[in-house]
Amino acid sequence: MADLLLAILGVLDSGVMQGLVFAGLALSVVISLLVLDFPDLSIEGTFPLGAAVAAVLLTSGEPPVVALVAAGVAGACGGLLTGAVHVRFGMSKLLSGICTAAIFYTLNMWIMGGRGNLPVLDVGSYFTWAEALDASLKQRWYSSLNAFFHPASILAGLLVVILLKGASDFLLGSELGVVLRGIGQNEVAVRQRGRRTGVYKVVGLALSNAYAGIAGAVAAQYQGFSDVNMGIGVLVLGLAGVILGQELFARLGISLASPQATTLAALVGVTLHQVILAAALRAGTPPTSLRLLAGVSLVAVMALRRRRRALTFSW
Amino acid sequence: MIQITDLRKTFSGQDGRAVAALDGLSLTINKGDLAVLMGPNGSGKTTLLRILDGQLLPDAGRIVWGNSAASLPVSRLKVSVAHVPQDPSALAFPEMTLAEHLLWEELNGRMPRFWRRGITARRLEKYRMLLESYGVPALAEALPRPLNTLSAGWRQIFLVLVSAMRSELSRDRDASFDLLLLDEPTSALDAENSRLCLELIKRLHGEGRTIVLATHDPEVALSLRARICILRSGRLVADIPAAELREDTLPRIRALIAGLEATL
Repeated sequence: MADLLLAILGVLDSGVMQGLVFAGLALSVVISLLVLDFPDLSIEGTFPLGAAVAAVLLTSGEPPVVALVAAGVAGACGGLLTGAVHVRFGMSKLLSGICTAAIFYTLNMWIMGGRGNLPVLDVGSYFTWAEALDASLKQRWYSSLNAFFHPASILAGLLVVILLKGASDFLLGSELGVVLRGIGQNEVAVRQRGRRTGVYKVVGLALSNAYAGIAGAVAAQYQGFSDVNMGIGVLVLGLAGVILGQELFARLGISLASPQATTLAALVGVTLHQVILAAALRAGTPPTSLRLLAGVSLVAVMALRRRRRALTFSW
Repeated sequence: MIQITDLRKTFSGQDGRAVAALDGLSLTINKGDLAVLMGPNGSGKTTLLRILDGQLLPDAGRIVWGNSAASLPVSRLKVSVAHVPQDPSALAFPEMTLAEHLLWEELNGRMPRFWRRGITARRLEKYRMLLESYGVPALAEALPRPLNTLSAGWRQIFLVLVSAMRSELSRDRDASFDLLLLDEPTSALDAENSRLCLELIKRLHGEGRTIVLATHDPEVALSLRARICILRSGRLVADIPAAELREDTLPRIRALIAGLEATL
């Protein structure tokens, strides 16, 4: 009984922690897919880009906050590239994202000095103090148990996520947010009103990829390393979170009619998804099948959706 | 006053032959007019509306707005032109709220600010008062609802109204000329919603709006008691002032549209 309770707590602990690490991805998908109607694959390149930039800055002695901000700026540059390729050269939405992801695969290795992997374990990261606190909590309260929990790290992660959510809610609720959403809803109507859509798409994609970059920096600091392959499948993670959250809120009868509710649903969804994946790992699924699980669970959520309509959203 | 002189516009047809949509059209629209353009398909009604709102440039001819001397494209004039196309959902954002549609009109012609909130309590109150002043409290109630939750009729009425309100909401406020172009506003509506829509148009006209409306339906023209301009093959073939409309005008209009005036 006590073992089961510990297992459940362990799953919740690691699931919530992973959810907070990937929260930036969910917000990134909200901006690109829900607001701009742009299925942006470039986050598979800008997520590891953020990780790489953060790892390089941390190992050269910069403070973690600088690493987070720089990762956001780097991610935004990736979004600029995707937007520019799409708007300027008329490449399709999917292709321009794939193109950016491919370009950044190589760039990320260059950034990490020609390597595919850069550890940040032995340098101070954003989570260092929180992990030390978690360790001392264990020693003081439950040193005899065969378990480890991360309340301080979760609080540290939550702090970043609250800041990210606050910023996205503010932007999406602004006049600019209304214009961005209009472009996602009916681009032709925006042009008919005499407004150029290209520059707004580029701005929106830069914003969305800044979130992916920050998520990558958080992930690198939490995992203790940056890896060039850590971007594979992250769009699925963000997307599954967004869809799961929307479906959950819809079933609970919670209105999604505001930017605040939409981003909250995405964050709840991505966390719930990570808890499910953590439970599967705990139940003995080998870690190598994790992407399979992420993909299959996304399909399952899509299949079980009550409202089977296109992924556009209202608030 | 809008003075249209000898307007010509040619499109290339499917088989590569040139099709004259407008073939020397001349027409004068006075400030405060409600002019109903009638005519068969391909008579040039929609082309004229699209030239007036600046979407198309004419091949030849002059359009003189007010007392501006030259014939300039609309975008370079201080005029406010709102065009509601035949399918107004083409210019709508289905999942955005009514309030956000009005905000779109307010943002017309300027940069959106990322540091300012979009829908504020003050804006909502302003929009509510405006809609109530147009006699549609039902729409004022529905301001926080997405457009696609409205019935087709109310949606049409709302979109006509939004276009009409552009000059009040945006920088077009200080425009010297304010023109509302409506293309078949009632063709997709049932009888009751048509009546509501026509009442709104009458009301807008009563407030001194200049409106040009294209329709197939002579009943619409008669119930509006408006000036009727009949187009055929890109030319004006009849211009009947509102004062001359009588019960027996309907058959005459039908005949003119069909090109049978010779037999009258």
